Amino acid sequence: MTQETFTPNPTELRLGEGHGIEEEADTNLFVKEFIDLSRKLEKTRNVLHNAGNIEVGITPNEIVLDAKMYRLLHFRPMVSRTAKTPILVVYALINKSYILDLQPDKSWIRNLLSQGFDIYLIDWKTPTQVDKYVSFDDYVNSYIDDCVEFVRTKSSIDKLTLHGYCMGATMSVVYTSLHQDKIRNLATIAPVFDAEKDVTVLANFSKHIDGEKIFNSVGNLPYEQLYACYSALKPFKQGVNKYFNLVENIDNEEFVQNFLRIEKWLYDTPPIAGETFRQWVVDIYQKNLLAANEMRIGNEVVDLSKIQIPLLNIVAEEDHLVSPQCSAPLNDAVSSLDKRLMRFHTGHVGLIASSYSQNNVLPKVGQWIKARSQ
Amino acid sequence: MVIEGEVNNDRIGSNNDRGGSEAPVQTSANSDPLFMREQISKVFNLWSEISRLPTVGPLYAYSQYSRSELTELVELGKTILQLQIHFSEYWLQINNTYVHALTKAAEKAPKKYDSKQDFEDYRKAVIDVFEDEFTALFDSQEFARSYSLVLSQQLDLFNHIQKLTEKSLRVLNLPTRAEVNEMVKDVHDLKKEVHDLTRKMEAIIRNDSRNIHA
Repeated sequence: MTQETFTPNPTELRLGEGHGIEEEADTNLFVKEFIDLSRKLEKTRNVLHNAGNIEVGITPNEIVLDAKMYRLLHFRPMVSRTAKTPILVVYALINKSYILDLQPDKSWIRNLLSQGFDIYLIDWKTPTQVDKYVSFDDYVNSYIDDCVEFVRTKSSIDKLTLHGYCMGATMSVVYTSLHQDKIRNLATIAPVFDAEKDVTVLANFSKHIDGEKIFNSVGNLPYEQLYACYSALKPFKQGVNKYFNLVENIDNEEFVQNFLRIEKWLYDTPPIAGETFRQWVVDIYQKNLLAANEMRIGNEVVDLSKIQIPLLNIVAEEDHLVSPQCSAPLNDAVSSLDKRLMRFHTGHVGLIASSYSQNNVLPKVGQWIKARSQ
Repeated sequence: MVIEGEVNNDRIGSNNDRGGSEAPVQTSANSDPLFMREQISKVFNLWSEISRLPTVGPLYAYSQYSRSELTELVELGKTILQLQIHFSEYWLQINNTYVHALTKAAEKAPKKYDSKQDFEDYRKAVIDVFEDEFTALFDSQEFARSYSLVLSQQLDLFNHIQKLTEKSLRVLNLPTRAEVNEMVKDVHDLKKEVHDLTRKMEAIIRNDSRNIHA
């Protein structure tokens, strides 16, 4: 059938003569594959329509603080003796924090718990129009500081380990520069720091959009705008190809569940508070004030050279959201003598929620923090 | 009042032109077509003056109200035109990239599709080609500028519509967006102040209790 359709050359047709049985076998195989594809498509449709409630973030935890803009979660320790210094994880303002606890075998949080750490996580709530004036100053000097104070009081310790991811890592850096006396170690994952060196599509868009106008016109950044940006990130390899892969692997229950969890997270996007987004785009991406030590938070100017505590900076070589060239210079900006840059061959999400991260990233991160947590 | 005065002056002037009496006017009108033209012109001028009368008072207010709506509508029209221009440029870039990618993908098409693997390989090749082409587009400053302009014009459009709607809904006595913003800002500042005061108070209480224990 394939020869008839695609190779009308008479010479080639003659070459096929005498192979009737093989031709028939090929045709049968083709038909079989086609039927299988139809079955898979039908099953994919059913799976997607009946996905229902997808379970994420199932590591046992307790809400110890519940404010208008955030919840502070305390995870139940998994070992009897935990490290003396607790870890406060600061998640980003983009999508939801359960990516750090997506499923048991790919949970960043669970892995650190199993390594004997006492873990707290700031779970940011969705800002409403009333929160359009909530700024970096509020996030850093009010919300993160409230959580730090809570952990210090509850654990009866002076200092804790601050551990941020992506935008949360940037906020952790800013917080540390302003309140270093409360922090023992700073561990950042893919922080946005030297935006001028960021070569991602996201950075390209951020450097051109009118942050002031968005703030003045719509207040908070609508999630639709974030979707528009996401759709430009690896649009075919991730945007289109993942659905082909889903159909192909629809009989693999583990693959399907993983796909559904990631898909749920990808499209669980809250808006970003207007003033915070304006500062993020204008001050960090367009004016690169953070790297220049000129960013103003509240009444203070953020000077990263003041940071002297141990720093662990974790970057992904294939990060298409925050390029490693943007994160790595943080190590040069601080004055810490004990500082380390870890590079891993994975992507932005793969760095925190993958088998690779469980096997390669977390053991090293845990080891580094543990050595400085006693 | 001033305008009425001016109009009256004109009227006086007209009377003077006419020599202060009715009879000669009639005579002149009958005899001189130029005179008639002058009179018509004067009437038009007078109406023009009358139409400029409401610079104060309710008539003026109403005219200003409709004038600002008209200005907003004109601006809305301009923004729609601008948006169309920038949107065309934006789509042109996407379309050109799509056509370019399609041509490249066609070049990579296998001569024969003998097995499922052939389809698979071609699918991967197409995905790679499209990925490279579109990532190059999204990475370009030209596209980022286009995207930014389209977004900016959309926001302008949104603002014009919002202003027009706000004017139309004034009858409902709702607060305007600017007024709501003012309140939201005040609430935000108050919350911050309360938060900071609470923290200071807690610190004082902590210190006091330490002193008592000491």
